[in-house]
Amino acid sequence: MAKVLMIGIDGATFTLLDPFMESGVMPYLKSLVARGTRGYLMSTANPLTPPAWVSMVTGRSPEAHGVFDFMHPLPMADGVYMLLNDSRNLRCETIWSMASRQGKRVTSLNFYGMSPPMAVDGYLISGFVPWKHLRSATYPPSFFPTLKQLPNLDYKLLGFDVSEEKKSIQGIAPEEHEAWILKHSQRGQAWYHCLAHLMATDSTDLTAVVFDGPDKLQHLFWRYLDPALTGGFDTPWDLHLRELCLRHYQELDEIIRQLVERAGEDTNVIFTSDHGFGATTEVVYLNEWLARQGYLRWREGREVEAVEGKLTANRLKEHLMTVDWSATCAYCPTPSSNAIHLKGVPPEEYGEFCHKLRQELLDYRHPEDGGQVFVGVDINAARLVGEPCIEYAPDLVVRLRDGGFVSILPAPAVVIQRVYPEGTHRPNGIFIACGPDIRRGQQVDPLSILDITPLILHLLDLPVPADLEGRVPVEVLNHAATVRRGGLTQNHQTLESAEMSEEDQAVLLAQLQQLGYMD
Amino acid sequence: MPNPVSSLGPIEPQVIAILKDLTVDWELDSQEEITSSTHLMADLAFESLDIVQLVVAIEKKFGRQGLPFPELFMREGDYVDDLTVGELVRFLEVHLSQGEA
Repeated sequence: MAKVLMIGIDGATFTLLDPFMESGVMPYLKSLVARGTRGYLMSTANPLTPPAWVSMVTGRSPEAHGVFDFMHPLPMADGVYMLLNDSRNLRCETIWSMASRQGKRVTSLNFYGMSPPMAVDGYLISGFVPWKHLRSATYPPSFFPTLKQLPNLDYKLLGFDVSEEKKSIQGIAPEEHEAWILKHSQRGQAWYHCLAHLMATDSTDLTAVVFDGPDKLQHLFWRYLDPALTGGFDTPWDLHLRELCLRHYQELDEIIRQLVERAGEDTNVIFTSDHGFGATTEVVYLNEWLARQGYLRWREGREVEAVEGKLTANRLKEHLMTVDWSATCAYCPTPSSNAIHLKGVPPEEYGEFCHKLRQELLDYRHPEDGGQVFVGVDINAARLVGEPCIEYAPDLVVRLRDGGFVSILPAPAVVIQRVYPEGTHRPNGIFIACGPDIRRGQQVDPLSILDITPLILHLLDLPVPADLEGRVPVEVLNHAATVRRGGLTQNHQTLESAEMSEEDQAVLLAQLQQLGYMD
Repeated sequence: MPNPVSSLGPIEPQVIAILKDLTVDWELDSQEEITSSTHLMADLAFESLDIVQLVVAIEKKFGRQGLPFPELFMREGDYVDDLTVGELVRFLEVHLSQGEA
């Protein structure tokens, strides 16, 4: 049975990859597509890194695995605290564990939310971990000293530099743009060198890595990358930055070539992204809308200045202080969630409350162009009918007409036009596969992000647990496949034996708020 | 299995060992040994996420959850600016022994 190499590209979209492949920026990826299968990969309802990657590697929806966002809210007597998610919040088994316990060896690098790490037969280094704590995010622990001593690799580049990453949301000064792009190219190279070492010294049955540079670059520089927009940004400086961005994708193409060739022809290779990408042209202030509808009250005399609609990390604590929680029954906790959480609504009124709020959102029209701003509003279906659900699951999730994420700040208007288009997430990510078991030269209908775990298990000749929500997309296979279904997933277990109490987490999170690590 | 409280022995050397393990890769400017008077923020360059990791490590080492960390991190309604190893040790000595009783 063939091995599997999974290359995740955070935020990858055919909107960019197709022109890049056609124009010679990514020739190797083009050759892989020609001898493989491609299609859209539809993300989670809120197409965001934490729920999407976790869904991809568990085969379960956020409603099951419990990761909806980077954080989750904890209502307390005096307000609402935000708690950071990590692997201890994960309630479903990962494919790393499923494969390991059935005799397959695994390498997993840079996937969101995998720290503290789970024991696997192989290697695991979580993504989104500051370099100072990579040691505790690495499994087995004995691999970390090796990692530190690898030639051509500054292991600190593997870490998630919070102060740097915040810039993709807050924006950065023009004089920092070049260094920003270079840093992400260096990070990609660092993950490549780490993986190349492991593939050379101890190849595993399932090898998986995420390259997250494209997401970061696309957030900040979408206008230089999207062919539909680049014509309007053609100063010498614009063109210079575009060239630097393209070089990042060229380097990624070379990394892909090296990894695929190193994996060998008997390996099935799968490319995925957690979500697609597109332009956002306006800022929608969801909490401001809730305030104007009487669901939320701003505290008098407390205002947070919005900078072009962006909530800087060191202002999130201040934002939480701007809400009068005693007079608030609905709020959006984070700008990445697009979620509304209810507070203090009696159970007997829950359904009516949700439907009323949903309808008001759908009925809202832009005061100038008359267009519908909230084009979709999903109500928590389980909670609506009184079924068990994760306690901090959102009550409602909105979809904006430009596909963007909301702002949670107070503002002079509910919708404000952006100065220029920026990059934001879209539901349609990418799926590309090639290898001995993959059909050549075809495009398939969109797959679900939930299909990736079943597909990989099948390609590893393992049974697909009955409680996975996705399916094996047999249309990508080049032979009539009999999918083996069997068993159930097991409880997710990390290496940590002690879990923090919610009280402890609340205190610690308050510390985070104070120190500004909250986006 | 985490160590039971009754077999903990002196807490300070264990806390110092946790801190050494946590900061081993940090390339700190100060080469001084960690003692009870060492400040987490000023001397060990602790940041907020490091505090999270420290508490996780403490809980794992001592096998205890639910320690009243608000008493440690808050004074007179506000958050402390810094904390010494000695203050952390005294906090653990008080609350771990209460759990033992």
